[in-house]
Amino acid sequence: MGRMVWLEIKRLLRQPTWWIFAVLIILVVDGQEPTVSDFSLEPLSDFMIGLSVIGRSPLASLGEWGRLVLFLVGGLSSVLVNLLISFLVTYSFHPELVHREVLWSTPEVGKVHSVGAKLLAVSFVAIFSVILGACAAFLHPSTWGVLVLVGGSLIPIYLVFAFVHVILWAAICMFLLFLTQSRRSTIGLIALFTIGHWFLSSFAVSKLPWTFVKLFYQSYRAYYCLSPFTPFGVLPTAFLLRGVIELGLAVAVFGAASWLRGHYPEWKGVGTTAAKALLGFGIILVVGGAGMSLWETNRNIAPFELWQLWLGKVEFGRPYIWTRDGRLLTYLGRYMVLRLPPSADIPAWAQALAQCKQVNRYQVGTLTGKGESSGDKRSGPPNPAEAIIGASQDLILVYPRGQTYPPELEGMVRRFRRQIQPMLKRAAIWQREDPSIFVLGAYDFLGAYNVYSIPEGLLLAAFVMSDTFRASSKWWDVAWALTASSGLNELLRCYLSLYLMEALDKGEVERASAWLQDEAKGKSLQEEEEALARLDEQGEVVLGPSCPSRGGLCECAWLNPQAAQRILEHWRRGEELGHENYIRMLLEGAER
Amino acid sequence: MIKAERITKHYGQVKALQGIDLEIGAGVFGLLGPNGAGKTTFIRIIATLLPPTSGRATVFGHDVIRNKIPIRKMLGYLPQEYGAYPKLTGREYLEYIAILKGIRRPRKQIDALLSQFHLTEVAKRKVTSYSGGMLKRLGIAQALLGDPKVLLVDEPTGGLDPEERVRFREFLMGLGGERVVVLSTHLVEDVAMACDRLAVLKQGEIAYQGATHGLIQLFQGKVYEVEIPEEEVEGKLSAWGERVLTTKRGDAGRAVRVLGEIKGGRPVTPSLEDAYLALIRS
Repeated sequence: MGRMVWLEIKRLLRQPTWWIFAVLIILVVDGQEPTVSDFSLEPLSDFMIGLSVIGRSPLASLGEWGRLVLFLVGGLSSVLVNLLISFLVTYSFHPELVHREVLWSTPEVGKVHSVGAKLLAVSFVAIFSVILGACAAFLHPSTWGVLVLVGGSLIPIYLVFAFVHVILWAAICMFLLFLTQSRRSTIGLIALFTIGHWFLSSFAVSKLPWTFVKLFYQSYRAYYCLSPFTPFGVLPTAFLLRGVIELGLAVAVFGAASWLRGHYPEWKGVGTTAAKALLGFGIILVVGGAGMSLWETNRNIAPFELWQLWLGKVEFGRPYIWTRDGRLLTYLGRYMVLRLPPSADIPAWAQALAQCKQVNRYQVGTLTGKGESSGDKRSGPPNPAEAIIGASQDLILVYPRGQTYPPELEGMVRRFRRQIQPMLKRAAIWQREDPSIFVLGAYDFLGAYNVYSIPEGLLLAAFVMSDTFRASSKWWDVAWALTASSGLNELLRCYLSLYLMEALDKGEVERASAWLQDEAKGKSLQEEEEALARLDEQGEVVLGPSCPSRGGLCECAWLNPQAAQRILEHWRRGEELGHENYIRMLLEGAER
Repeated sequence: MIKAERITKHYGQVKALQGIDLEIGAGVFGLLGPNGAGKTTFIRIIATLLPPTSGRATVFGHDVIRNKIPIRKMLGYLPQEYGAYPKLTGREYLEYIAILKGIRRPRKQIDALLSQFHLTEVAKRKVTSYSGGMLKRLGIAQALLGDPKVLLVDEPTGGLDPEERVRFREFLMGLGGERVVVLSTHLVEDVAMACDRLAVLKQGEIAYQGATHGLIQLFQGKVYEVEIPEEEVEGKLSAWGERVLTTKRGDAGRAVRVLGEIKGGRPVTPSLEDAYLALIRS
């Protein structure tokens, strides 16, 4: 069988189709490099898992590259990969359909192992194309500065999962080809299926009213939750079971395809026992894997809603990942995060998991309205789930000692430090030393801002370090967080933010000043929106009534024209006296 | 041993075979007939690729419907168009077919066949670069992989140049022995050179089966040759119609062979082609 696989691979590699697709995949990779947060590109992941939706970012580690391979076969680019698979399958079986006599007069051609050899050959060539395409990410200049050789040991596991996924689609192609006996129909159906599957997973499932189904499906599509923080997903069992389910599906579909092929006139009467056995075995794997996955998902959904925990009505007795209303409670793994009501005791199970690790507790952020409530949303008495929105929260961060972020992010953190260096230099007026960097994988925990000041340094969502996140909004958050250690009030911190921001982007400060002037004049809401729209057309604007990433600047100014006026006054004084002098005066005043 | 009993095959309203009874033993057996006579259909039935509508066929005692695999294990088959994989080299293609035939360690056999069919030098070239003759030789080589007890060759000399055709016939003659070789063709000269026995198919029925010389004897004394001037050729041929078997240029006009006695004609010993045509037209 090995020799046959090799001969098939040779046949396929000499066919130009795969080259074309490999090049296309390279182009896709070039336009869509992986990051932690790239694995959440689909709206589904936006649903309570807490990873951000952003675009391109440099390849940060070898582990990230492995995840890119998974992403290529499972994300939107799977349309391309599945088309490649369908071309390869139809090419491989084409002689059987056209000049079938010699092949079908041999005793082995209809047997499961010779069909399996073609399946494996197609899958090897397809995964080879994907790997080749993914390698293009190494060539991108943005990668060179941040790539670290960490996470390589994860690559074989990711490749196996990607390979199983490819085998599944190759089996589906074979089934359709044997069913329709038409190359064009098969390729067309595969394109339709892939787009349909992508649509379902991206839109339809996320619109379902049942949290459980969504969470189950989300666990099934666990590769969107893979990150340096949780290399096997937020629910590793679900990730592994997903592999079992896909393998089972591949075996079952392959069995069904072989059984279908057994009904060709040339093979009639020979018997299809092996094909039926495969079909049965595959179904057992699928049912078993799906059953265990359902059970595991259900086991990790708490029997209570978030508000019940916040109001102290229930006990957080075991490591539930989600609440019943779909809110993320904890992010288990080497870099664990746990969300708790302020001052609530850390559960015993969390303490047990945190042994030999560093446990930090911070009051960071507030509960946002994100997530779904199973409560009654009709008019009437206030919904308790909505009532707790805005309530403060405590984050329990559990890190291995001395490692505040996964080693895979080392290059990204280094670059981030370099990028904010001008701000850090200015912040040295009130800040003695460079802050440590703490990184969180799931930004859902962070509330309104993506960067927070904590006693030891800065706590930021991993995606803040990526390239394409709108730079100015990212820097406002960083600036705002850096002003926290000044000990000044919020209005003065807004002024300090402007000062820090000026070190990175003077134009942004000019736009912010213009906006503050408008605010100070007390414009109507409509005028505000028009002004913002105009500014948005200019590009870089991030200040706006609905923009959560504006640092504290807008928050102070938006609600209060006088506050905007005072921020501007501070800025003018700073300009007159020299900002450093003025800030020192402010700091001395604060000390007195 | 191939045995067919009252085999019929219908494609909708078309009756491709109508009650064929045939026994084929060891040696080279010719299956002769015009296009559409049902030769390929019969070959496909024997090759287990096509179930007959009714009747029974066995190969060495194995039923072509119920015991496909044992038959395929002893079968070598060269259809009219066999579609070799163009992206593989000649050697790789033979290796591929050897695997499908379940042959373990086929390298020596492949080497021998490549040498036998003068393909060694081009064995590493992709099949797509082969000439028609090379492809036919590669086809017969793949059919012979595994030293099959039954060899079915369907129109093997089509597309070959005269030299290759002669070489191929000589090769077929050497294949007999214990092996059952069925040569299906509409070219009488192929059968004349290579086969001791033959069957003639006509519109899905057996018109003749037996020794090759027996078919000639069947028409002994019934074929006449007459030489006619060139200017009378058109009128005479038109008048004799279906009785005309062959014509060739003579010394003083055209030598025409006709079935049945004819004025001015002299009886001649018929060739196999004369006999075949006489049978088909009678």
